[in-house]
Amino acid sequence: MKNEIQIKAVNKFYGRKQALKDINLTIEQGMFGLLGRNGASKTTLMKTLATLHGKQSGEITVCGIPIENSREIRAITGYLPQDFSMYPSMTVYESLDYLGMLSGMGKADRKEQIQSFLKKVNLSAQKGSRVKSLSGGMKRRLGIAQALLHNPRVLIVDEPTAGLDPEERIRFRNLLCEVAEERIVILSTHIVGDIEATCENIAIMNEGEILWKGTVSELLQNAEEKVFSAEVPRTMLSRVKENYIVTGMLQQGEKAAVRLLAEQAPDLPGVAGQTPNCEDAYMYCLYQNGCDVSGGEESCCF
Amino acid sequence: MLFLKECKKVICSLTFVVYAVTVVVMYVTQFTDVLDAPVLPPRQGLDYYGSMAKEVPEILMPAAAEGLVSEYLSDSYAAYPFGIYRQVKLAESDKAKMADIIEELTGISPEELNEFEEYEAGGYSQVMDENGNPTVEYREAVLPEINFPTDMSYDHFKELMARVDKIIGGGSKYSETYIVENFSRIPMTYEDALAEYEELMQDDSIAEGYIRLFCDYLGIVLAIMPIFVCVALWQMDKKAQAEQLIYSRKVSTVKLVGTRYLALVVSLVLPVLITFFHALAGICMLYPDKDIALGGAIGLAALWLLPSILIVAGVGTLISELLSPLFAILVQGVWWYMTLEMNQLTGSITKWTLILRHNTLGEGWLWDSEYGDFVWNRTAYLILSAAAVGITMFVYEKKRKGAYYAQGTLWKHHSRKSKA
Amino acid sequence: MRKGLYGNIIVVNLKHNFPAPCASAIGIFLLTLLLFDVTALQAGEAAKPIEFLLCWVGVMFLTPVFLPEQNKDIRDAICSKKVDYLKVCMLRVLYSVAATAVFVSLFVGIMRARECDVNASVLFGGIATALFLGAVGFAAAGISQNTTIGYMAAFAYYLASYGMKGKLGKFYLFSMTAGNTADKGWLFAAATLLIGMTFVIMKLRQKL
Repeated sequence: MKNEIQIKAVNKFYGRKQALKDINLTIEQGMFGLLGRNGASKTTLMKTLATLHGKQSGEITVCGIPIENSREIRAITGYLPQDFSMYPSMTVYESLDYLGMLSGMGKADRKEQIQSFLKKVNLSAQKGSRVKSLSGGMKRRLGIAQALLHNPRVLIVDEPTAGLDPEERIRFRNLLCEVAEERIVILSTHIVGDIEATCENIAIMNEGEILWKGTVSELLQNAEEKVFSAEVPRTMLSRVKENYIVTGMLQQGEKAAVRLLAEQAPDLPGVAGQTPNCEDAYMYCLYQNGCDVSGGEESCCF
Repeated sequence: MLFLKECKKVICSLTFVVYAVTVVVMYVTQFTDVLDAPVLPPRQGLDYYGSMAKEVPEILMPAAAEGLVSEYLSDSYAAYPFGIYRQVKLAESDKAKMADIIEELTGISPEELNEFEEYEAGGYSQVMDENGNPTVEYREAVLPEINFPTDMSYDHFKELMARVDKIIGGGSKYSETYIVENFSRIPMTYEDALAEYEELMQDDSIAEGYIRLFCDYLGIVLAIMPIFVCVALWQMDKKAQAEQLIYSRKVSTVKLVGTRYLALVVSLVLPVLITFFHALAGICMLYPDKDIALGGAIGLAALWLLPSILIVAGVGTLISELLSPLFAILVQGVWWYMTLEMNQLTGSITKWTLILRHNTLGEGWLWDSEYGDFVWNRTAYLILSAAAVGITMFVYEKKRKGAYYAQGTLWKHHSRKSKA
Repeated sequence: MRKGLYGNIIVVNLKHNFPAPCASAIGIFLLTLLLFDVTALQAGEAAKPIEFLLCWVGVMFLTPVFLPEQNKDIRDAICSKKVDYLKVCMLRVLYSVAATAVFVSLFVGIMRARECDVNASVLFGGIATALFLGAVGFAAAGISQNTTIGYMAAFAYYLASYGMKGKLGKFYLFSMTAGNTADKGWLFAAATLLIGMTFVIMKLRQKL
């Protein structure tokens, strides 16, 4: 069966609030990025794919298996929750052994895989440490190890780099890219840099809807000739922010270098066209789809 | 305002809802029946008007001797040290001392006593009636023949009882606190019953009588259920992983712990207040022609129930912060059970009883005799509550400074500090 | 499913999630022995320590079944695995029920050795009472997803039994002390039903 996830017209409600609105997506082998602000319902979609939540309507198949067959789906899926945690009294090894057991793995298989993954995630030295004594980064690494332990065909990772230091974040991304060679890896994040560095295919979510789906290059293409830089007096800054979507700003004495999005070249001093980066393209996509992006200037600088 | 926010946290919690429901259910199922009709004066010509405890040496001495023989033969003595029930089994040397005292009291030699095999315990026990409902039945104990010495002086008897109480370890039925209530009950006459009725019907005591009964029932709930609301409140920070966040705020420990405790107590009082005012309104409607002393009733309820809430919340707060929330529940549960096991509906108010019982509208004479202990008891628990909150503040402050409690000692958590 | 898997899951759970409830149950057990002099008691009196105090071992074992996963992050990690989380909980219920039965049996055994008037129906009654009170806590904890509520519900039911007595009918906790062992079958059935119903509700909730 082909490694592919098909999501057709999926809706989910929490009481009266609609969390997922008519979601349609096809996710193929490799890294797939799900981008969106906090509260965009990315976690809801991830949990639905991990069979932790039900849905009210629509169809989902994972590698040809309907999502309703939760036992079969869980057997081929690895899930790293947004805030992974394990029983504090267990050691790292015991945690992996127990979670491997719950994944239906045999003893010998578990032993072999645990040793291998402890090395891969650089936790061999901590295998006897209790979970409660691990740092945030170590816990994340334990989380990824447990998600991959049973060699799943689909790996779902929810906000995996939140709270990690830059070095750990890069290591984490590389590990995900490595494992994505032979499986589907769905990465949900609000950090654009994570997607840019790892994913080819992406979808952007907002308020439970898929705003955009395609490749990273298509997203960048979409924002071409819409990104400009300018050097404006500091006194003009508030006016610039009112009229344009500012994606970056660097104040230098009385002047400020700004990076902004506009449909046409703005009438500002020192204006010049710029090649869009992923962050610009993401902001432009949100803007294009009618989202309020007025606070976006704080999200990056250059 | 921090206080209102903390109140909102408490009141919006599921544990508080369950607590409030329990208080209301207890009130409705146990108390409201007495509000259906006013108390009527006793009718003349009845065989039985109840009994009352009165220090009559002629009754007390043989009854206590009989009780002692019964407990000796069952090899088990009930005791209530610090208001907590426990059964005491004596060591062989103490048994011999007890047998000597019994010989002096009854003329039964230790040999006769130890060879008596027909012994059967007596007293009230629960049985099922013909409809399958539990009911209480009285059974006489089977004991050897007791000949209480006619020349025994009351003073010497009291000396012997003091020795008996000491052998048992204090707080026994033979202690000064309990001996009259246990062994010197006399039947009430019509005149006694009428006097009791008239005393209850006084303007200044009618509400007090009802409120005593109200507090009797609510006191049972308030000695256990607040612990759950308390631990849930202190667990909230841990559950939300917000402990460190709160530790780092500007607010002083005294203000934070004090405000939380106050909010907890005020919230816990709310359902009690609602039922209390409902009861008070019911009493006023039941006796419209009486000038009911509301102030006294409010004061009594506050003095009875508030310390219960304060001590349970205080101890719960302290143990939750010092050890663990589940341990706090366990400790309170055991304390509650051991006090409840005293199981006397009236006459069990002592200096240390957590659950005070006075399960009758009448027996004002008993209440009067216990009032000193009642005030002592409630004041002691008020002071203990304040101490518990004070210690919690100390522990919380230590935790804020990076020390925490583990394996029985407060210790600095160096590894965490160094990581930070 | 691989052979011995459930046994392994039980072993891990016994190691990590059993010691605390077991310590509490031992505490209750010892307290019952300390408070009640269980020597040569007659039927009604013999039932008292079992129904009034020992029954709490059921609460100690059954109420915290969901406690290890009360932290949502741990629950998410466990629930995403192939072995259904509710099956893990069922295994915990199984050994908790067994442990409750062992504790009550041991206590009744001690009573018997001390010449108390106890028989098989007192043993069954004791187990049924402990399981029922435990099941009340288990159901409340599972449905509310809050173990504190579970303990609270058990206390509330105990209080109701204490205060309302006959009004609880066949579900009166202390019926053996009052000389009636016939109703314990109802308590046992209700305990089974409560546990089963909790699993059904949790299963339905999983699907939402």
